[in-house]
Amino acid sequence: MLFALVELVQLLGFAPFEVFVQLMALSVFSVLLALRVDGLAPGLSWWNVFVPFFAADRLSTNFTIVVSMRLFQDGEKRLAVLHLFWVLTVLSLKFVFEMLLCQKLVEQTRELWFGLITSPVFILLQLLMIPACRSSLILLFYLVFYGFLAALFTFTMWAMLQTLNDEVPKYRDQIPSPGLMVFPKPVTALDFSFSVSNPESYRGYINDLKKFLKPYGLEEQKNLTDCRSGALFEQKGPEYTSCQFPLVLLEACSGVDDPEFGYSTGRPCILVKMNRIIGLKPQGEPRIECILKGENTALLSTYPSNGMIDLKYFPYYGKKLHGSYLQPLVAVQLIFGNRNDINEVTVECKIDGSPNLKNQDDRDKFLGRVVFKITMRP
Amino acid sequence: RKTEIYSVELSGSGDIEKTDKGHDKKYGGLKKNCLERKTHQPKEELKKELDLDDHKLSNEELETKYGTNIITGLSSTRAAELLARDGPNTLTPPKETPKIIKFLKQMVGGFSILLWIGAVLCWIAYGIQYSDDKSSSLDSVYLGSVLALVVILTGVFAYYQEAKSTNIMASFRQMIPQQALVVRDSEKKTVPADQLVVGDIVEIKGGDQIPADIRLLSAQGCKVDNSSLTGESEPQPRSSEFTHDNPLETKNISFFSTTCLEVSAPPAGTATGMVINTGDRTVIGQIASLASGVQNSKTPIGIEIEHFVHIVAGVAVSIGVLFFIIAVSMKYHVLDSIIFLIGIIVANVPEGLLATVTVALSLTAKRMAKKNCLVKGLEAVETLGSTSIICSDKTGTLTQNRMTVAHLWFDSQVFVADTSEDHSNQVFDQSSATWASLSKIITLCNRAEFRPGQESVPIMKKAVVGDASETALLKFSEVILGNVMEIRKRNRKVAEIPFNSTNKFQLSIHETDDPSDKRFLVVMKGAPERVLEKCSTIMVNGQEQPLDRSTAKAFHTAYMELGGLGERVLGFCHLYLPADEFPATYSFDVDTMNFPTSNFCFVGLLSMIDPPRSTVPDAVTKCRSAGIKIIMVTGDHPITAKAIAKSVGIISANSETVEDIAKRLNVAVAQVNKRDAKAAVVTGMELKDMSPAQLDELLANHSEIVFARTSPQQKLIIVEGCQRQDAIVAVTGDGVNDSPALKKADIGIAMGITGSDAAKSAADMVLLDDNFASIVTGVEEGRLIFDNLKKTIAYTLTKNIAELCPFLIYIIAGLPLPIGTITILFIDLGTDIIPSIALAYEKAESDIMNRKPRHKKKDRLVNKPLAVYSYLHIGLMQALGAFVVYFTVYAQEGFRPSTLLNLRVEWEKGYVNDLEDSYGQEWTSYQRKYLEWTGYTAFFVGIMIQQIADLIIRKTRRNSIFQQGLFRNKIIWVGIASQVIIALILSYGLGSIVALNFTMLRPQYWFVAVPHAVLIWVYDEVRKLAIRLYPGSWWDKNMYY
Repeated sequence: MLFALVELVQLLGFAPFEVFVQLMALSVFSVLLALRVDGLAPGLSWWNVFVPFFAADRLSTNFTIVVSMRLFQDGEKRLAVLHLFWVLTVLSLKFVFEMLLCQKLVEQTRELWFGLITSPVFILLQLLMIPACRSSLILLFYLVFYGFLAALFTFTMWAMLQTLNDEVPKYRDQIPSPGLMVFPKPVTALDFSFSVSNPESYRGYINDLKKFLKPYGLEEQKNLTDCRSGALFEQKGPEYTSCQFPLVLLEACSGVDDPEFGYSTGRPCILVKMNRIIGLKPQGEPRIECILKGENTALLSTYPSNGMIDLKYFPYYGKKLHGSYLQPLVAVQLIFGNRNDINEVTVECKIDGSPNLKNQDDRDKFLGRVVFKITMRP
Repeated sequence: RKTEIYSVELSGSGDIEKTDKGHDKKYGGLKKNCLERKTHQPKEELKKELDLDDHKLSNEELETKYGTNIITGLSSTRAAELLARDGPNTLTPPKETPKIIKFLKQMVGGFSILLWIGAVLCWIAYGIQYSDDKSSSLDSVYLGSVLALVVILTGVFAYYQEAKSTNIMASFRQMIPQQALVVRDSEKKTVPADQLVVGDIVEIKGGDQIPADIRLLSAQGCKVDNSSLTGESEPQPRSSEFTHDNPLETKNISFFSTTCLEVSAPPAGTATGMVINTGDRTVIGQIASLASGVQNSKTPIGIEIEHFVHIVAGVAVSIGVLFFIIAVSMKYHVLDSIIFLIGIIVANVPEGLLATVTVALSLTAKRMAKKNCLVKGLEAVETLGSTSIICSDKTGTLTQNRMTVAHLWFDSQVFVADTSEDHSNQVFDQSSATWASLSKIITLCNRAEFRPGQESVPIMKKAVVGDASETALLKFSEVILGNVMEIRKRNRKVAEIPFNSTNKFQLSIHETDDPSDKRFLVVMKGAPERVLEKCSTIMVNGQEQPLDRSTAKAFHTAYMELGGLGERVLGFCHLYLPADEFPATYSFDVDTMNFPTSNFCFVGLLSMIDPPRSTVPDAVTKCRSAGIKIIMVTGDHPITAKAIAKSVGIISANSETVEDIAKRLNVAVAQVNKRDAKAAVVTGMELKDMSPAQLDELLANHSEIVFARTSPQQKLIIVEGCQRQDAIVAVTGDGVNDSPALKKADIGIAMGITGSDAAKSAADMVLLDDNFASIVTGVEEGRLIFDNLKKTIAYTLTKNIAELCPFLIYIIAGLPLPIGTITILFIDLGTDIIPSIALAYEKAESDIMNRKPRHKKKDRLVNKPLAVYSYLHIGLMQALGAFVVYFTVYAQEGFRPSTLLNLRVEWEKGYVNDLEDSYGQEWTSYQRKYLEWTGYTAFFVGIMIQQIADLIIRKTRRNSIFQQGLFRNKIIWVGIASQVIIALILSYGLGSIVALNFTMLRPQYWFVAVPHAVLIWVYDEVRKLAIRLYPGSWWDKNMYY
């Protein structure tokens, strides 16, 4: 044995008799368990298998109460209360564990994951540490104190979360104006580099684009509304629908005709999107204007033509209400003249044509604009 | 007997000069020499050591030796040359550490080294970043520079504070520039004493301090007070004769810093001398240099602060390294891990605390200075508070340092005179005719005189030319009879025999002021037994009666009684010379004694004592109740010492010495169990024969000890003995000879008025009013500051956990960083500074003078309960409260807590500009950064609000805040206001400065942490209640810091 009886008694706070009862229960349980698992006793339910434990717990409880009462009458009030409190805690944790385990075995429910079932055991082990340590009172104190703090923190957090709206964040003052972002998603910085002759060098980009454009597929867009162009599409709810964004608008960059998005032919496509902001209503005629910076070794075309962003995609009502929402996209295609040289171009895209969408901010380099670099090797 | 003492010291200093041994050895030498004293060193050796033969030279030889002229003095040019050669005539103050070293010490001491490491790591991190990516942000450089700046600023501040308190001391030292009257270029000039050079001819008047070691050329009736050299106040005669081979014993040399008490007779009441040694080459200079050999040990508070720094630095470094390892093993970039490490260190180190402690100490130092305790080093402020033994000098500290008439005996009765400081209340019966005669003798048989030009000065404060007893008698009679000088004028003196040690009496012959009475009056005073011998009658109630056996017995009883009180007793008698034998024209010759010197009429006895200061008994009682043991160490006679000790309460009324018990039980002293005696009076002779173990036993077993007839070296031995008992020892002293003991003591207290410069420079504290009661004030202030420093430290440590947790959570749970390093610095050095200083103004919780002094090793400044309670209780609660504010800000802006988990990596990528929040909105990196700063501000405000609660709870450690008074310490509220205002300025005023990472926070977020703050307050009140309800319980032991 790992423990001498005396040690066990001391550790658990149980009387030797109780230990004996529990051990008896364990042996009966193991017999029943074997019967149940081997299917030798067809009428035996899991509950029945666990009965010895339940009975032992019950017996132990009675025994403890009696012992505590005696102690109390003997004037050892403090000891009595402590003993009662301790043993009942241990027993109830054990009982909860048995119940949960039994239930799991009976129902095989997924919600009852093993972490939950074993949690009483963990608590029990922690509790057992207490008498194991000499400064037991301190541990107990910290257990209670930190338990209280944790509960308090949980409660305040819960209370705080209650003040939140599920659909719209309480404040939207920190994102008054959208930023611009490009796709494929860059790996390190806004710097795309590939080699036309090496498909591996741009496979990541193509996959990224495909993944990104998946929600824009015809199938996915079937249920969406074909909204009227040129005007804001304001909705009152409770049901919110989204406007279709036909990929055709992206023309050569739609990936429909050219699944490689022009990378294999030296005409790489980059998608530019405007960040989603709940309730944003652009004024005027927003469009994304992209220009090449520096030497022009390439031609640049934007789709839809002129980089127009239709107002019908605004406003956005948030993930929860507006789950099917599709962001309007603008594609930028670069057509390099000389495919045998290393081509390096820097492209700057800006939101234009809308007075309430900022594109110039000293600190935020991505507010309404984005600059990226494309390096194409032969 | 005195000379041996010097010789010991001189040879001691000789040792030091010859070999630069460790200070222990110097001590050894001292002690050894001290023991050798009983073996009587041969005089030759002394002479050799004190290389001085000027006393043997004739005036002419002296002139040639020093190139001077006795009549014309040195020429000014020669004097200037010599001054340039020998340096000024001052004692070189003990070598001070150069200012730059002191400054550098401040720069690397305490936490500074940790912060330097942090700063260097920052720069290294930037270097690595820069080599990777030329456009990397300068954040690390900023942080590194800020850290360096913090160290430098706090260092400069601490240095400034320290320097300021040193300056107070320096200015004090220069308060009384000494002047000397010197003959140069045949002219008498007054020059500052430090300009004197060897060969100068100086003139000395009664009352002057001897400006250098001088060889007297002409002097009559000159007496010097060597007490600053020897501690003994008996005046020593000086003349121009060479009387002894030993320069220390010969009469024609007097020493630097001793006082010339009186000079009588021509020319014009001055003595002339030639300067033979100046500055450090003087005898006193050599003794003083001995003190510099005694190393100053660390102050108790210094040790405590070091202990505390070690704890905090230990916690900071171990958590930092632990999380560095965790971060690295969690696959964080090493560079990031280094930055985490810096963050953890910065969060853990209370940057402002040491500066705060300095300010708190200097505030107390100022307060003490106002109460006449001038503290030299700031840290010594607290030392007095932890003092458990005070070794006090008697003369001047416990007593008024002036002889005062205490008792009178005439008409067979003892009368008590008022010995209080102003003598105002003389209530004894003055109607008897005997008193009239006695008072006449007192007035006339007295050579002391008031110095002219003191009409407006109260009698007791008037300066007197004359020795201590005569001064006492003069003042006594002046108070009772009025103008003594006038009375003397009316009773013209025709002849006198001054007091000398062979005669042991003083006699003068006067005309009477009664014009009809042509008799001469002979008045005599002196040692009572000698006076009585000369008497045949005694005056009772104004009537002369024959001196019979019973009256003689009464006299003896009275004499023994007064002597037993430790008082100096004088007898007085007179005789009217018959007018026929001694007509008005009779010429008295004091040398041939052509007048009767016997058959006098005895009038009375008068006893004098140096009475205790009236404030002392009370102060002693206070020290007693404060658990401080007071040991009297004096050079005085045991009986006097014991009497004074009894009258001030150092020996309490009901305690007995071994001798007392023996007397009471009528058994031999050896038979008495030493442990029965609470008190002990030990003389220097007994002490000399004691082994250290015996001394330890003596110190441990007796609570009331008086050391009498001790030498300065024994004082050092006593101090060491006390320190062996783990006591913190305060020593008071004023003489040069005390300086080694003052230095050795944990806190040396010098007397500001009577103290010598050497004593003052060796001491850590100067009592400006020489009053023992001021020590009690010092103790009280010291204890209070210790308590308040505890509170300050507890307050400051608390928020460190709230600053640290964000980093830990950031590393482990991957939340966006809740608080930035610079923001932390704004808490540590911004909002928290004034409140933590405000705690220094907190009043004591209970009577701090009623508890025992703290135990050096057990009662630490920062103990386990303090650290645990601050870190793991309040600190953790604060962290939770601040996190609530943080989560609230993020959640209300769109990032729910669940989204935030593990968001860190994406969040911090600068090129990810479409990070989605919980509501589907997308954020650019700058927008996120701005939100992060709002988070910093929110966390900062959360901590600040809870620090207000923390400040309030720290006002007391045991009592309820409401018992202490919430509004009694107004400074606390200034602190709270400053906290809030600084936070408001940071958020709303400086919210637009990017580098500071503050943003304008919505007003409601300022209140999110308020419930947590209230909880902290309530929790602490519960803690204190439980401590008060269950003293000594488990809770008390673990929760009371």
